[in-house]
Amino acid sequence: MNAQFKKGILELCVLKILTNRDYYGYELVQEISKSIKITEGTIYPLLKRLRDNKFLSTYLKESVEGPSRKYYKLTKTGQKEFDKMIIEWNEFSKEINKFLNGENKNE
Amino acid sequence: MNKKEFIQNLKSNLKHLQKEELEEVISDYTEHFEIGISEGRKEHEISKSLGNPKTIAKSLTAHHHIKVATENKTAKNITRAILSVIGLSFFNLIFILGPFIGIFATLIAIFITGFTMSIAGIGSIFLVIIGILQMGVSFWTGTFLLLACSTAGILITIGNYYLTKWFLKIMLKYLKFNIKVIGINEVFEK
Repeated sequence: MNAQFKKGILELCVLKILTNRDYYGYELVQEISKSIKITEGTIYPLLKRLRDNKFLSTYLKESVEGPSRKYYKLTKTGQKEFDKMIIEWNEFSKEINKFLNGENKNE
Repeated sequence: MNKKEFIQNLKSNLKHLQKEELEEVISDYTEHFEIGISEGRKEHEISKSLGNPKTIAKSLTAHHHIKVATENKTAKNITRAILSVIGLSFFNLIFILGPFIGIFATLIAIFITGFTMSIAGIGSIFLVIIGILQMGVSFWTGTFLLLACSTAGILITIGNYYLTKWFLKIMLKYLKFNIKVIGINEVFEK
C-alpha cells in the first residue's frame, strides 16, 4: 500500500470513531489498534494536526479513576471534512472494485 | 525504556517547541502512560507500543515549523520548516534539498542581475557624459541606453520579487503535503 493511501485511511478512521462520541487519547488509540496495527505514539501528532486544522477540539474532563483526561471532539468543520472524505473513499473503492472485477472476468 | 526515560527522550528532542506547546505534548504522553499503568500494563510495554520518541518528536517539530512559517512567511521561518521536513527522511534529503537549493540559487542570481543592471544604469551616467564629450555619442542615445538598462533592471527585480513570493507559497503547500505523506511508514507497524 502506498504511504499517502495509508495516511488518508488513518485520518478517516480517527474522524469516523469521533463521529460516535468524544474519546480521550488512550481510548482512541486502543480503538484504532483493534483494527489497524499502528505505532501508537504517532496518533498524538496526528490528533494535534487535526486540531490545528480545526477538525477537532479538545477539553479536559475529570475522571473517577485519577487525573483529568483530554477528550477529543469532532467539530462542524471536521464533520464536513469527514463527509467529504467518505464520498471520496467510496468513489475510489468503487472504481478499484470495478477494475479488479473486470480483471477477473478476463482471466 | 520506562515512562521517565520516554518522556525525557521526547522532551530533549522537542527543543524548538514553545513552552505551552511542549507542556501539552508531554502531558498527552504522561496521560497515556498513566492510564496504561492503571490498566495493569508495564511501563516498558507501553513505551514500546508508543514507538520511538525521536520519530514522534521529529514529526511534531516539522509540523510546528510549518505552522510558524505559514503564519509568518519570513525567509528564516521557511528555511527552518524546510530543514525540519528534510530531517524526516532520507528521501527528503535528495528530493527537497537538491531542487530547493537549485531554485533558490537561480532566484538569487536573478536578483543580483536585476540589481546590478539598475545600479549600472544609474552609474553609467558618467560614461554617458564622457561618451558625449569624448566620443561624440549623441546625448539622446546615451540617455536612452542608460534608461533602458535601469528600467530593465528594475523590472527584473520587481518580477523576481513576485516570483520568489509565489515560489515560497508553493513550497509551503508542498511541505504540508510532504509531511502528510513522508514518514508515514513509521506510523504502521512493520
